[in-house]
Amino acid sequence: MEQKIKYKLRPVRLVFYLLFWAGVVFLYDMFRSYFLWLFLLAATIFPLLSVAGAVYLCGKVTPRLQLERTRAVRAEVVLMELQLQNAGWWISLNSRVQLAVSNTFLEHSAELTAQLPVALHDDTAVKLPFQAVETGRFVICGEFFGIQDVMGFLECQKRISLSKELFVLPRQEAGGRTDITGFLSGAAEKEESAQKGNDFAQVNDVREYVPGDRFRDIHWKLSARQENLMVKERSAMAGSEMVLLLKLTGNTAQAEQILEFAWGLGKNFIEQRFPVCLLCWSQPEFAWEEYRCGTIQELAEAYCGIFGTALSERVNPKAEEHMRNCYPFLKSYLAVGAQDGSVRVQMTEND
Amino acid sequence: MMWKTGKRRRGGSQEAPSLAGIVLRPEAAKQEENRIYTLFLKGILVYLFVMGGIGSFLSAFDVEYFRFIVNLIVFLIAICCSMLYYNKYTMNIGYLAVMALMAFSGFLFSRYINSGFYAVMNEVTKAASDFFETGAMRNYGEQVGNRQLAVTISTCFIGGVCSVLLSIMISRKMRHLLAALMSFGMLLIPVYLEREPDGVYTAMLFSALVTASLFCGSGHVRLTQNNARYQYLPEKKRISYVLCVRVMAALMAAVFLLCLFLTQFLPVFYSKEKFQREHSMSALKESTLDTVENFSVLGLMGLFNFYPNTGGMTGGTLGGVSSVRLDFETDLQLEFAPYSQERLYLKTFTGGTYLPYQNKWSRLADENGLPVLEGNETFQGLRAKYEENGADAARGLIRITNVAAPAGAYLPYYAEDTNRLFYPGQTVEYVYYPLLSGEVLEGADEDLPEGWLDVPEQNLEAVAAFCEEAGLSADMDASGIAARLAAYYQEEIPYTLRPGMTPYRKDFINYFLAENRRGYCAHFASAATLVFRYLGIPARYVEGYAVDSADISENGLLLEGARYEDYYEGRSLLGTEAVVSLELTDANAHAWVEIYDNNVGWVTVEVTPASEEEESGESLWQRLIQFLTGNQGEEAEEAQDEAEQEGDGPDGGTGRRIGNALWLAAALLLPAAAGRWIWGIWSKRRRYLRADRNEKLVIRYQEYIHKIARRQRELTQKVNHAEQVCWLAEKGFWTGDGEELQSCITILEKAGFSRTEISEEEFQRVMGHLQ
Repeated sequence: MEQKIKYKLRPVRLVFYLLFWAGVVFLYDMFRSYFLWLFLLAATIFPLLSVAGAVYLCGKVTPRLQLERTRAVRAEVVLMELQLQNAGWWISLNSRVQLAVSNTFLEHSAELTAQLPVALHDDTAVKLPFQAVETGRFVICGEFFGIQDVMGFLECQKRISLSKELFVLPRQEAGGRTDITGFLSGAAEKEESAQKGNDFAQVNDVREYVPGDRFRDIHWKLSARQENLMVKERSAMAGSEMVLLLKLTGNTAQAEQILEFAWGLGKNFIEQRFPVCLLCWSQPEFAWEEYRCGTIQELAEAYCGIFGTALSERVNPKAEEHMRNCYPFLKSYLAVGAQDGSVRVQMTEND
Repeated sequence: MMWKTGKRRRGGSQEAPSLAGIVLRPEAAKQEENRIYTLFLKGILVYLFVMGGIGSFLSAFDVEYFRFIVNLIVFLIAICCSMLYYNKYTMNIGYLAVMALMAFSGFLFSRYINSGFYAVMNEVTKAASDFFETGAMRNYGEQVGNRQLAVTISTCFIGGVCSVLLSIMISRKMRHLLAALMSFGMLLIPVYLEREPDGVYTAMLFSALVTASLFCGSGHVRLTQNNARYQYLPEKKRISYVLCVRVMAALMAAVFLLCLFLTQFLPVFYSKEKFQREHSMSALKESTLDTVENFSVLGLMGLFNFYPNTGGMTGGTLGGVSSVRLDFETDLQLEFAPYSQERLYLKTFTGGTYLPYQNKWSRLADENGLPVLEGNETFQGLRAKYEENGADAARGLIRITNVAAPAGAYLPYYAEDTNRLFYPGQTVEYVYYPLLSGEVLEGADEDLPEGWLDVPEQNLEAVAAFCEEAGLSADMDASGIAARLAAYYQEEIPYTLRPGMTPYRKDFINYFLAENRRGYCAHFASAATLVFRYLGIPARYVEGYAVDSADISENGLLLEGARYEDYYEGRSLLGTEAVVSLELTDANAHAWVEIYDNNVGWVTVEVTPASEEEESGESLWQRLIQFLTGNQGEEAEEAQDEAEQEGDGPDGGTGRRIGNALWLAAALLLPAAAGRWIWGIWSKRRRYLRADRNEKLVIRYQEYIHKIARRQRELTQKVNHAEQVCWLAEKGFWTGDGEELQSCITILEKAGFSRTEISEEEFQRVMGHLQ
């Protein structure tokens, strides 16, 4: 589909040039010199060539946007490259690409203009290293591209659709100092008490082991009897993974703190070979989204999923009331939320 | 990448502003431009400017020099000068070294440089002399025999100096207008003198100007210390490239090729010669000719006329008028009865002795010091003849009203009253006895006073040489000399109303006869007077008004109710005519010669040749005003009226008037706007300088806020200092912790509302943010 090009005049420059041109005409008319006639001719031809060149070039230049990676840790330097590929035989001293940078999770955006020259039948690229100082899902869009003629009278503008996505995760060391021993023992006690006399109460099925199954789910007794490794498939999470409930609020700073804290906590659990399940409320689905993570990569994937929906859609102060109904077999979980201006984690009974 | 966030705060770290959670890193990317390439490119631009300007100038005057050597040396100097900007050490030390080198070479080759410069000046003078058709131009003494070598060395030196100057303008900040003014300014001389520069140099100059203006217009030319290719402007949220050598080089090459094509191939289809054939000199330029010529001959003094003139009639004072500017306003009004086809003279000044180098004729005066216009001998003879035999003689009456002429007698020949002066507004009547052809008066040579044969010693040589040149000798009779002289004048010395002023310390007649060889009636009559005297014929110089029969037939009006007999009695060569009324303007002002005829007494001799140029009394300013207003003057209007009557529509005129009106509007508005702008800046500056420290801070703060508010309208909603400062800090315009910002707010409020003057430290503290 042919792109529609808009033309924007720069009247001040045009008026000043016309005054200059009128001055040359006056000089020529006064002196009637061949030299001045040539100069007048040049002064008349150059603007026309300049404008025609810009119009020609606008269809020949293709902007491209590249990101070094799609996922980064907060404060890590990421390289963005903006490139103008010129297939035409003309140049421009001024072209600009209007970029929109937005954090779709924290729901704010800003604009950035990149001004570049257009080289003759060649590429021009600017490398822009940046750091994300917030977590979330960043979308960098190229919205429109404008190219100015060399004399600066006209700008040819066309819409472009460049888009790149970057998920910025919390730093690895975030929440690293949280002691999880208590949570682990507490969880074990709960599990133990819940399992007395009804070992299979929460076991939904028993099947053969397949690579990737967790060791703690192996039914050792049955495996010994059948000479094959058998695995318990549970209906509830308790006893097999730590449930982390993210109580996000509308405050972006608090939300970031909660997410960072949960990241650190989850990472610690995973490093202790204790899988976690992140629960995060989704207002459009009106349900808790579950993200099971046994590895750091899975945790990162989970966060990418969380960042996929805007923070405002993740907030519901009464969502915790639905936990009992949603997860009747869950005995307890860890709720990570803000309290008195700081982030707290609390073992919560699901009753 | 260069980081532009304003000044680094004292003791604080520079923090990059965030864009929706993203912070651009300045230190991560090291994209730099090659400084050497950049400087080399700018050096080429300087070379194009310098050599384009100098080469165009020299080629326009066909000055011979070793082109390759000059081009090579200027190129090397231009590149070296540009390379001085490699870093601050090379810049500071290098410029000193260059200056020293230039001074040393100037001292070493001073003889060649001077001689070469004089050679060029002589060529320019020669061209000006050809153009103005005058031999009165100065000539400079060349000291070196090898002119080509001298010009080469001189051009190299001047090219070097220009390279240094242009390098300062171009290499750093691309001040193309100043550079263009330097290069194109001097080209106005050959352009004015209708000399055309060489095509290649023209292409160099055009391409330099176009490229520099394109670079400057794009704003991506300034060389930074860190050679950054890109910079980030946080307040504009823009990443902008600083400069790109690749693109600059490509653009420069493209522009040069285009200019070369224009100047080399276009003449194939439309040559200079054809252009010159098809284009005549413009009226505006024509009106500047005498001014420019005077300037070229006399320097600045040539721009001024020393005394007013009325058609060249200056009471015997000569040489101070560069050109006669006729106003065609009525000077005298006559009522008389024409009696002959001969020219009627009304004389008001008779020059007795010529004062060489003072360039004036002394007025002939009687024993009481009153001006004497004419001896009475001829008049008395004619009156006696009329009274004796009225049939062969005549008596006339002429009534003259001085409308706007200088006080004078304006006496017709052979009138009764000789010493009367009358002033503007007065009317006088003269009774005169016309000298009809073939008359002989007895005793006319009795009282010829002495001194009518005196030729000043200082003029002898020039007059003698002229007589020899013109083939005049004392053997010839008066009428023969007069005829030969008039013919020689007509053939060899053109009449012009723009002869130029006589240069300082030169004699008027010598300059006219030997050097300038062109002039108007005063020149011809003055010189002729001395020629007659030199050849032994008593002669004197006369000024007044002359009336031709053509003037009477074209401009005379019949005076109704006037009786012919009241104005004329006796014999008339025209028969009985009517009485006419005639207005004389300064176009009728004239100077002529009287020689003494032993049979008749003083008779007029006319030697001034006929004018071939159109007389125009419009000054440069009058022409300029006419150009601007679309009023093309009477002659042009008449021509236009004729054209319209012949069927040419008035559309061209309307278009021209509209165009000229636009010109006028632009010419009035632009200076007014410029004046208003300058006045505004000056007023602000004056107010700032007179203000105390508090007021200075308030002024600077307001300017700063207004500047930002023009782009960020949100700021206009912040009504007090606290809100504004918070907003500025929030948007990244100001940096600093809360304490610092609160301190600034307090200082601003103190400056704005308190009578206590803030301290210098407080002033500087806030100014740190404002800058």
